[in-house]
Amino acid sequence: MKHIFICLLAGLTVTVFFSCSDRLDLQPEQSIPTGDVFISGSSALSALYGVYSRSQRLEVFGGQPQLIAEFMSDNVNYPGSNSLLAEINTFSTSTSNNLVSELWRINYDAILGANAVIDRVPGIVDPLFAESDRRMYVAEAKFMRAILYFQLVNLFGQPYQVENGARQGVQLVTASFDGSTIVYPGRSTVNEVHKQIEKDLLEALPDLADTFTDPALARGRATKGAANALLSRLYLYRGEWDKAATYAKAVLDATTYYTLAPNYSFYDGNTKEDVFSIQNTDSDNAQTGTNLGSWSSYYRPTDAGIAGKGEGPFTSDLIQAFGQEPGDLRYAMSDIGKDANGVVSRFSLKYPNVTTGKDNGPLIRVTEMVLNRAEALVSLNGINQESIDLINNLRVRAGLIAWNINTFTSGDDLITAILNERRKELCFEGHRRMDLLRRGYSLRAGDPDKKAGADKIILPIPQREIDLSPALKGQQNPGY
Amino acid sequence: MKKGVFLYLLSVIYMLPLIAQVRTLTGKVTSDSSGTPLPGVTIFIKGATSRAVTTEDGTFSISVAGTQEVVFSMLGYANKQVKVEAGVTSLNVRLKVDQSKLSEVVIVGYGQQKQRYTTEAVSVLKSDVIQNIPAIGPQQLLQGQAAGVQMTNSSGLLGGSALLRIRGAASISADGQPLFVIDDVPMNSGSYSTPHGGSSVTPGLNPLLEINPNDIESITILKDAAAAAIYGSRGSNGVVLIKTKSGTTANKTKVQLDYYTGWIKPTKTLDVMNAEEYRTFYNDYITKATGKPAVAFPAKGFDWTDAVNRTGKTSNYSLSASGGNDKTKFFAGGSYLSQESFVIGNDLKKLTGRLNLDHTMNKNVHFGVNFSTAYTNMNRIPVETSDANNPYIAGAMNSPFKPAYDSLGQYVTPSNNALAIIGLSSNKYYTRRNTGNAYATINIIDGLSIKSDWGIDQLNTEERYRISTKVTTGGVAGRTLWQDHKWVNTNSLHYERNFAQHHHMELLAAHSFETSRYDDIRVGGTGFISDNLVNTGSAAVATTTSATGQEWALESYIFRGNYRYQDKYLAEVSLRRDGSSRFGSNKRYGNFWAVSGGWVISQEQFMREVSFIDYLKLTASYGVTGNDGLPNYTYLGLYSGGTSANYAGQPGLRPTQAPNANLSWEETSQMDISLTANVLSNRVQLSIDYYNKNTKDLLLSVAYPSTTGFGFANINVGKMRNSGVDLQITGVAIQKRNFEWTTSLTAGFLKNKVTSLPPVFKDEEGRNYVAGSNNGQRAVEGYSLNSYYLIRYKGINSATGDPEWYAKDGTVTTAPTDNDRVIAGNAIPKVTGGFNNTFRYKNFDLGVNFYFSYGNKLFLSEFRILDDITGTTNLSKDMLQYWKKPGDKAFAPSATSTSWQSGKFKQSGLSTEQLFDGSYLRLKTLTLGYHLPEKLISSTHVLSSARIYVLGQNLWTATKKEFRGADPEVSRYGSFGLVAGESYFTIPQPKTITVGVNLVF
Repeated sequence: MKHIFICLLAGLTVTVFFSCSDRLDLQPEQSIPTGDVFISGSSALSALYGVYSRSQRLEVFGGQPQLIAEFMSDNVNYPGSNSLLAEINTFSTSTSNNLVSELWRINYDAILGANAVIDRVPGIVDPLFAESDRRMYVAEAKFMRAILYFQLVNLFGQPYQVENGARQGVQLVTASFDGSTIVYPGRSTVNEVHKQIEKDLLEALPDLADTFTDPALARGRATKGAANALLSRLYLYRGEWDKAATYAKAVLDATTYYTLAPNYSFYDGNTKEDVFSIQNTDSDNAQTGTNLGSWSSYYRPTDAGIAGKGEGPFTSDLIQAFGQEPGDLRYAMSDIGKDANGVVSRFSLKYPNVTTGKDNGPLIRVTEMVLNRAEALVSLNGINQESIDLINNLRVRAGLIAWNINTFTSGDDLITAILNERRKELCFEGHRRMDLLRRGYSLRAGDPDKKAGADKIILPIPQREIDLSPALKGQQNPGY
Repeated sequence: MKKGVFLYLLSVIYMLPLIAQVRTLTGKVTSDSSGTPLPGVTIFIKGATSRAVTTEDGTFSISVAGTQEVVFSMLGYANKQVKVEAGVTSLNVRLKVDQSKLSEVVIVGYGQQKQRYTTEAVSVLKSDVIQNIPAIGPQQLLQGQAAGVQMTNSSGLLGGSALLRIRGAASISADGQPLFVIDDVPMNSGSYSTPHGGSSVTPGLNPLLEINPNDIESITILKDAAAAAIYGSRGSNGVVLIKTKSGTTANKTKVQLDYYTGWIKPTKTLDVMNAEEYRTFYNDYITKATGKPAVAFPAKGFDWTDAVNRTGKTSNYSLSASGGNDKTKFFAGGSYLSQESFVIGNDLKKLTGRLNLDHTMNKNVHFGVNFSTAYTNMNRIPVETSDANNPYIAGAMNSPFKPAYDSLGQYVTPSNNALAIIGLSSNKYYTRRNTGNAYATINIIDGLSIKSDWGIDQLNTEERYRISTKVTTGGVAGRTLWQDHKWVNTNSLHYERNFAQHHHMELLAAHSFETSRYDDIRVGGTGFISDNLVNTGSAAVATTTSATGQEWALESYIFRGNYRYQDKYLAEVSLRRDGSSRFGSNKRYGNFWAVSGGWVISQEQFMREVSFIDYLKLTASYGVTGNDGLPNYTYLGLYSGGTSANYAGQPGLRPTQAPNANLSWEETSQMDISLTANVLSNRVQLSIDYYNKNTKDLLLSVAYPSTTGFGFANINVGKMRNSGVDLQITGVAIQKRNFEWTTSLTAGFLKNKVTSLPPVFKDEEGRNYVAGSNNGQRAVEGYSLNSYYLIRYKGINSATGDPEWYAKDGTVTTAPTDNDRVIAGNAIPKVTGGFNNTFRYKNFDLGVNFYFSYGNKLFLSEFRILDDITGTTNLSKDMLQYWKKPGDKAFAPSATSTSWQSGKFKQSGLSTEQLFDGSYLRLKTLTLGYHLPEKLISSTHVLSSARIYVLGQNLWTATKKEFRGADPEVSRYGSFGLVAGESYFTIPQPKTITVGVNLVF
């Protein structure tokens, strides 16, 4: 009997020894469970870099939404090679357009990454995590969330000028996703989205760094300058001229970090011209490069290299705009090549790295701040010397004659001229569509119906999202 | 005193005849079927207590007196009773294999049961149907042998995995393979291959590659829930239990040598044009149709098919020794297999060794070990990936005017020349595997024992490739090492008891813990100065340096109870609680169970009257099993690094997977009703099973709203049903003294239906579907899994010469669109089965085994290439039958068909033009054997049995007349559930002829 007892005991011991269910809690080795990401300052920084990395994607700041903004307006003559982009170009986008659907999805992917940083970084217990860094990471994530929402609301919502921002914008999600409860927000109004962007930027501003030592980070991470600049753009788009001018000046005054470049060699250069550019390297091919597309692949002709798609040639309208004043050095920054259909066209040289696709995405430049402030001041005060001086900096740099106070007879004329300068400065950088819409111009010169407020000048909410989210039922943009 | 005298006298009287007539009866017992000597046969005299056992050479000696009834008895053989007349001292007896198999013990999960009393639906294959067949993996031997088991070789590629479905597919996207268990060790069955050796969708390695079929004693297939629920979360796809051979207690060592050698040819190759046909066709037809200028082809073409095919060779040596005594039993074996495919560049060598030991220390303690080690060495060819690299594809696809060698005998454009790639580059694959277990059993009290079992399965595989600098500038080298190391420990209590005469009870309780660790290490590089620098370390540029790892663990509580009353009423309950590291935190443990009952009707009084029925059993079972074949860590919310998360040269992390704490196993509930009968003096056995399997919680990718940050997540959502009938009839058709014919027919009827899918993708009719392949195969809600969604091709209009299709509404059109696609059948056979026969005449034996598959459709995408005149490839011979004048029943359109030309020559476009009825009947094996006469054997003094044989494999295949493929047995995607029955120049099955010998010493 004793024998039996010993045997049973032995069996039981063996069983208990191995019946430890902790052994089933195995951790992955190539990934980190969400709960283990936000445990230290360094891992928090990695998660923040992940948000920037997501923004490198073609569909985010990798060139595609920017190309769409260019060809929906009058800068780029889309050759129609990609049927999904072609639909957008002809204002006949289908609600099930997969490209639009992916654009929407990946922008939110980046936003939710930022939300996680904003939600979780404050709770990290790490004595080595400096408070200033902690606040800065949250601030950077807020900046990223702001610029991402700004892109989305500009593409999917009518500009503020339509019903003063009361029209529907996009779905606002500011919390991270825990995996268990899926929330189905309806669309917020354009004003609400703008409010969130403004809030994020204003909250971020005091905590952001002035700059970083590494030039790639100084230009590629959110700084005070970047937040000021984005606020300036937000207010400009909303017609809040005073604030637009003030925040632009904040950037222009920070001359330690930002100065107008003397010439046009600054592209992809991380110079003081750049306020915020998405940094791309050779190894980011999977995000932007030859596999998917990139700034350079869109804007370089097919004969410029294997990755050149020739999908972003000049429109004749843009060529004409440059043609009004010959000798424009900005026009000299272009060449001739074949577009996607083999038609010989003019292409920009702003993004020359067609083989690697590593050109940085120039999201905010000092030049824009010059233009913002000039335009805002004229809108406030009519013709004024400061605006003329600001623009003359750009004109002289472009090899054109300077204006003087008597060149224009009215503020409106000057604004038109500033917008023309803005077009020639910022073409192929994704600004033109919103500049036309907010100022009440039609996107296409020959088609007066493509003004702010018209159907289909904004993209449809992807059908996929409407199918999945009950709150979006009946919230499709009119016309779709 | 008086009493004592009486007793003495009585004893004397009793003993007198014994003293007078007692004599020694000697003789030999052999197997009636094979003629091999049978050791361990118990011999006893009816009405007496004396017993004897045959020795290793089958001989016995027993004392008998007068005329006696002597009974010869052995498990697995029918008892034989012989009346021994007085004076007879020598007797040779042949025992028949017990056809009823009722007395046989079948291996079931964590134990064994008598066939007679089991309530589980299992199919058993014994070693006799396994050995001698030149199969690389033993699961190939299941073909046609077990009802309800669909076994389709993925291709003729050596070492490739197979599609093995037990009672239909139980999964769509998770692992679709059954669980393989060798001697209580569940095998690792991951995918250890890279696109270079076969793309991710093409089949991986055979998980049973490293076992020597000659080591196998039996294969048991657990089919219903009653059988498989004991494997819990791994039971849904069915379980294949392999038991390896053990020694005997016969005190004599048996040595067996098996050798065969043979020749291999493809069963059939694709019919493509020869040089003359191509030249004429090009200049007569293609030029006219496409407007291409006429070409003055060289005078002589090159026969690519001939250049890439050869007569393969195979040979196998298998040597084993087995034996033992009362205390220790052993089996030791080794084998060497060498196989050379009929396709150049593909061969395999395999070396295996095994030692099984079992020792009885005393009547209460008993322990043993089963251990095997194996090494394989393969030359692989890329399959179905890059056309130019695969010699078999090049053989069919290369135009006869594509030159192979220049005038100096050098390769022409080696980078695009399959012969150069095979000749200059190397693509090696190695596996090394150690599998085994050690166990100890202690009897605690009578009937109660405790067992501890420790098992390992350590698999190391290695891929090493080197592309010559002549093929790719600078050359390419790569090496990948995979490791999958598992250990498992099971501790069990077993209790068995008869009580109150009619009650029999058996209980099993166990705890098991199993874990495995997977690692891979990859390096790759380019930029080599010379082809003599074979390793990646000499590369100027490192292109790949990577190492990853993952772990998995499973903890289980196992219980089974059997109860039997009066050998008539049977009941079984099994239960398994599995906790897996793959399941979400809310579903960490799952319960799987089954109940079954049986009624041995033939034991009832009223059935005793029915004389022609010897045995009749009705069983029913219901239970729940799972499929844990999900990727590891799927339930966790994850952040990943790498180049998709870095930024400005800084390492980053980004969310890549949404957490899902509810992620769990796929769950199958199965009902089975089975009737087993033995009739006509056990000469015919019949079993018929009806089953209905409902699978739910199928793991599928589901769309999430983008506002979660994730577009998709894997969720347990889908539902599927398999129902069918398994039928098996075995019988001795003829039984004469010198001639015997045994035959068996197996058939599995199956119907599959996908009953629910998530609404991610909807087809034109609004049905949910999950896309499977580029060839229109998909799972569609409300239809069978592996359905084809294709435009229906009608053929060539004999009046106009235009190719025609059916529009969705059934009208005929010359310009179909994607909207005309309909569900055009599916790849799941309605019936599969086998017809197996053994004939014995004197010392000759003849085995004839057929396999058939009926009612499945095959998509042969090679014809999208071979029927396409716009390309530069060779074309199918059928294209020569083109339309010339009204009334022609043509295969190819009129060269001047305008609808064809304006439709961009779409007759080779994706449609039912490439979809074929895949029904076939195949002569799987034909064996003719001869046992050398006993006289001759005994004269050698060393041999105890010798057999020589000739075996043909896949000698003859019948398909539908319309079938144009090389082989109807294709499954390009291996065990991947979502796609079956597709081919893209899939290497056909080999046609093999081997001659061999089985020698027993």
